[in-house]
Amino acid sequence: MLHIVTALPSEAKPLIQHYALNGRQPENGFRIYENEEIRLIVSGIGKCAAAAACAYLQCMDVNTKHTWLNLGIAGHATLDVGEAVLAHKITDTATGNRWYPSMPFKRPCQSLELITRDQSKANYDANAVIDMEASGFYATAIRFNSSELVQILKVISDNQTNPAANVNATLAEELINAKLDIVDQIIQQLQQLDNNPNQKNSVEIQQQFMKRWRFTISQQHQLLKLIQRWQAKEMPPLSLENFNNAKNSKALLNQLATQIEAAPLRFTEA
Amino acid sequence: MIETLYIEEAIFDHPRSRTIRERYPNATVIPCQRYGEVFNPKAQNFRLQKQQPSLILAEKFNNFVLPAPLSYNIGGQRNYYFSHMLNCIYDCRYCFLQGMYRSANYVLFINYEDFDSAIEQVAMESDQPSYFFSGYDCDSLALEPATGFIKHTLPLFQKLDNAYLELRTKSTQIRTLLDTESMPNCIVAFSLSPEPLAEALEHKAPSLQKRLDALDKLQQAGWPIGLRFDPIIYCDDYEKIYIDFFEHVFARINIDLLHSVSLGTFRMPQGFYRNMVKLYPEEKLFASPLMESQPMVSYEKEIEQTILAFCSKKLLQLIPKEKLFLCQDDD
Repeated sequence: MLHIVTALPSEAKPLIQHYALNGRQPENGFRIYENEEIRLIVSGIGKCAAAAACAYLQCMDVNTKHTWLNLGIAGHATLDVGEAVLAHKITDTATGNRWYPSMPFKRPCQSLELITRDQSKANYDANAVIDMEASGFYATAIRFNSSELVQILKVISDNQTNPAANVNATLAEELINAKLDIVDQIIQQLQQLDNNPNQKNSVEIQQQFMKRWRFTISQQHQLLKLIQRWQAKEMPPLSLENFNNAKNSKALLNQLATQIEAAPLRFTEA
Repeated sequence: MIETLYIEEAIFDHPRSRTIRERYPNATVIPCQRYGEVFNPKAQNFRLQKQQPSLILAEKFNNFVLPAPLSYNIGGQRNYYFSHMLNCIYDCRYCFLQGMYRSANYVLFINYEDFDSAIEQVAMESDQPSYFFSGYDCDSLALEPATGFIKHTLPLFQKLDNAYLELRTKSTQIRTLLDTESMPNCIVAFSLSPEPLAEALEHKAPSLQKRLDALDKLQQAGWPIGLRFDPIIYCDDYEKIYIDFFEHVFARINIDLLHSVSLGTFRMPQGFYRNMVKLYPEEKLFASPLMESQPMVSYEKEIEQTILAFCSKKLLQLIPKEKLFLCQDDD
């Protein structure tokens, strides 16, 4: 599932409409919207709020690895209002910590350094995007998945000639709305990166076996490894029916291991 | 094609950094303080990054030349390796790099002169010949058009009578070598695998045929050649596969210019192996009859001995004994 974190309701609104997300009842101070593939949380302003929102989303589905996107408006000295920018370097001004999000995909827009500040200020740093959430979001989200699957997209809302004081909810909504095509492309890239059909298939088969037999945690790991080896050797599709005579999980694991060992290992067509 | 270039701030304007930036004019350039900030963080996935690796330009400060593992030798007693690059442009499923590093990005250390000094110093320490292996953490030639490292380094070995350089490669980037007069103390060692195994396991690497073509050109130009059959991969029909392979390869080899042949089966430090299986759980290679015993993972002993004996026997029908080297584990 893709987890999106926005700071403001006005940043979230175009996404809620575009992806037909349904609102959940407010939970512990967070507004969450979702469909089958995307879950969006409105964090509130600031890096602590963003970090808390990430943690809250992850805890809703604690054992699953999700892809992550922080989306919102930000400032830049010279970029035009409405430009979309991915963050390729994040610096937290309060701590001096730096991160370098990895982007092994075709970028649908330019990427720049992003600086997260604790407070909104009128001055801009040279050629860096300025926001108040990214470092909190990123430092937390990369605890839950690898950096390639955690990205930050900002739309420029203010610059030296269009000060932040002029930014309001309507403008924020319009700016995000105008860049939904880029959001779509990034989501598509993240989904492609995250797509490993073989791995998903072996987990599904493991779950079928776990409904039929009882496994200890250690046996669950063994089972998954055996299923993966079964598939690696390109053996016929695994079917529970072929193991009906296994009295318990231990017997099943033994049968699987024996059959895998007996199967041919070839790198050429037989 | 490199889409992203990370460059350490201290070497941002180094002439080699500038040359490489000019080579990739469309790349996004990102300054960093130390390469480890980009290369070492935990939350990285080698498999995902391998889809589009970035290039990191860095400066190395120490450990330019290190003692080679005991199994890494081609006849010398003093064996060393050096790594001007970390990671490789190829994606071989048996390669330890994918288990050792968290990042698939390439790191290029651009202070080549410091490598020269360290090599020279080690070579001067003894009257015995010293052997320097360059293709340990990267392919020696694959990125040569961008790095120019070999072009820089060959003149050093031209003046070091007592030092040998091994360039280990799967690459066909041999222009620099063909433009240079052959050197008796520089061995171009090609890693070769039978075609079906190369197709299945050596992703993004030149085909066996292309490697043999490159080898042929170097041989004709007088360069000493090495053949590296390491790792030998076990499968049910390995005997037929390797007999055909050895015959195919040696039909093109001039034994007089053949410096050495080395042979080893698939083996891996246990920690690296486990990382690799996590990255590629569906990989057929990892469904082989492997045995995990600290600190290494290797084929079950009986299988390992059988394959090594079989391949050694075949090779000794083709080459003199003194040119064959077995790569055994250090433990």
